[in-house]
Amino acid sequence: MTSDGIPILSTDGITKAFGGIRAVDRCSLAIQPGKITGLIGPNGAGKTTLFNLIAGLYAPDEGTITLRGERIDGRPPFEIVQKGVVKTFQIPREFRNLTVLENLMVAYPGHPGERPLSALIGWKRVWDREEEVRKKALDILSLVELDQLSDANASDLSGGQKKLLELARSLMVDPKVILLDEPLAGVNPTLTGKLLGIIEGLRDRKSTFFMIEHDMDVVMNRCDRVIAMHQGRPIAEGAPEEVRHNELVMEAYLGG
Amino acid sequence: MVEAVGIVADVASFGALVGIFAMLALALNLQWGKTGLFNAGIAAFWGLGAYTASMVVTNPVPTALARPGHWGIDQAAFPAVFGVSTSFTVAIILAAIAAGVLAFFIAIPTMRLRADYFAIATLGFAEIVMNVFVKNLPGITGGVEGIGGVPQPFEFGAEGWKTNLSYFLLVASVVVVLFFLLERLVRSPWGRVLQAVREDEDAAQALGKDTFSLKLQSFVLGAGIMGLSGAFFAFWLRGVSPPPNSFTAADTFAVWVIVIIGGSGNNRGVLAGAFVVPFLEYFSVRAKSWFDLQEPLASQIFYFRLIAIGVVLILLIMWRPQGIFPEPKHVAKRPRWVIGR
Ligand SMILES: Nc1ncnc2c1ncn2[C@@H]1O[C@H](COP(=O)(O)OP(=O)(O)OP(=O)(O)O)[C@@H](O)[C@H]1O
Ligand SMILES: [Mg+2]
Repeated sequence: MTSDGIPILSTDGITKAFGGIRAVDRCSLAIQPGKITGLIGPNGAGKTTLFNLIAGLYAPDEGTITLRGERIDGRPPFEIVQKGVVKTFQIPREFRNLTVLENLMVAYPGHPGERPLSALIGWKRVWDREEEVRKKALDILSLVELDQLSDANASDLSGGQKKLLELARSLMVDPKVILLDEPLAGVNPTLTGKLLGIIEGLRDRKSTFFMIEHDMDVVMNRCDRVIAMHQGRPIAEGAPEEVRHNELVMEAYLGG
Repeated sequence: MVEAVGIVADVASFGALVGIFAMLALALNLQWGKTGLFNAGIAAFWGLGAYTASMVVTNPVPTALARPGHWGIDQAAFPAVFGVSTSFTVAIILAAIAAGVLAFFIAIPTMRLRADYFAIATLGFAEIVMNVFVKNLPGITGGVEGIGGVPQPFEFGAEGWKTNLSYFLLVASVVVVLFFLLERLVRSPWGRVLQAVREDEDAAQALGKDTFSLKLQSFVLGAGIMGLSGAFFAFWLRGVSPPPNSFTAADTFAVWVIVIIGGSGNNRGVLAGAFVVPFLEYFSVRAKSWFDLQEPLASQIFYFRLIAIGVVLILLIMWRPQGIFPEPKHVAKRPRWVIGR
């Protein structure tokens, strides 16, 4: 497999089985920093499971995951986020009874007011930080055009709006590596273009994206590299054009 | 005059019990209402607090043939401040700490369990603590006899109404202080992240929150408040006795009813709810003499409260599942006064 430079994130032979199904099966791959890497593959290929393994929501049965030279497999999810890797959910997992704005504010990392003692005392600096967090959240909300809904309960959003919320929430973390699980599914075409613009803008400022996407137009035109997955492991990797014409990939999609 | 004094004593005693249940309900509202922790072992934290406090404010009693003894502290060791023994302050603090420590050790193995298993585990622990240990440690806990002769902070001898009234005022002020402290806590970013944990723990983890530690904080703090309530209950009752007299699953259930009726997640709501259960109890005990009831109603009216609670619960769950006072929108709110620069 081709790779250029030192990967920021890599997996080496990781496996995750659910009962008899090896959802991810001795999977080895590497993600280059500052790029948008697309992850494609038929339904059930193991893409979401792979993301869950990287994000620490599952521990791999075997194999290792490395972030900038450091092993992160088996670490709890919150530590992995603190190391700069954040993941969005394919099916949005909004905090239903928090408002849209609160959904973003709660995602802010290391808020001093999230320690009970400082919250109880009510330091001024805690509440000043809260103001900064609010501003940051409002900025991100206007970026994804949810600012009009900042006061709505998250449970009242439409399906597409929840996808936007999911993306916006992950941006609150200022992640270095962002795992996006079908972030554009159900989002209208105009906004899709805008979101891809945002993602490319962040990429140009050195963020790394690993994005599951079924829309081939997006994959071909917007991803720098593409990895195709089938039955739990990568079957092709490279520039979008190469992967698109790869025989194994075509077979996988035709149900071979 | 005698009549009026009797009513004051009676109502003050009832009011203190309301306050004691209000503390329990505020604590459960932190654990369940805000954090989603299904604590089914309230009775154990409450009981541990009550026993701890009782041992601090009584002299040790050696086991005798007639009666199992219990631990205690020589009361001469505590100086009095303004005529009130400092043993009470020590007792309240130690009761809270003891219950908090018990919660910590229960939480370590059980907190990672799913909500329903966590409920069963806390219930099991509570039964073990109260029925197996507390009841079977004569010489330490007084065994099946419990601990008697627990004093109250303010004693007015023959003027019982003064004793009851001052005790009620003490309990009420503790409830008010607790209410404001807890409001400040849950209306902070900490309260907001607890609510996020309650609504979707996986999502909170995926956003970098140490949900185990957050749940632990909420559980231990809530249990500490339950222990505190236990201390006030022991003073109120002037003693403690083990299940089936006190600290049973029925007490745990009563606190749950209060929180569900008042409005889970709303501290004002659970304060209102705290009147319901003690009131029904009080009413069902007194109804006999108030209404001059005849048999068989006279002896059975006591059970009326159980039916009433059941009916209220069913109606509420059908028509207003969020409780009388729903959870307020907008979690964190800058308090009126902040400290520092
Ligand atoms: N928690 C789970 N328990 C049992 N089986 C699971 C679980 N999660 C995934 N699987 C199985 O693992 C396989 C891979 O699922 P995964 O969700 O990773 O696929 P995917 O590539 O994301 O598919 P899609 O494109 O449809 O989202 C599927 O066969 C699925 O049924
Ligand atoms: Mg998927």
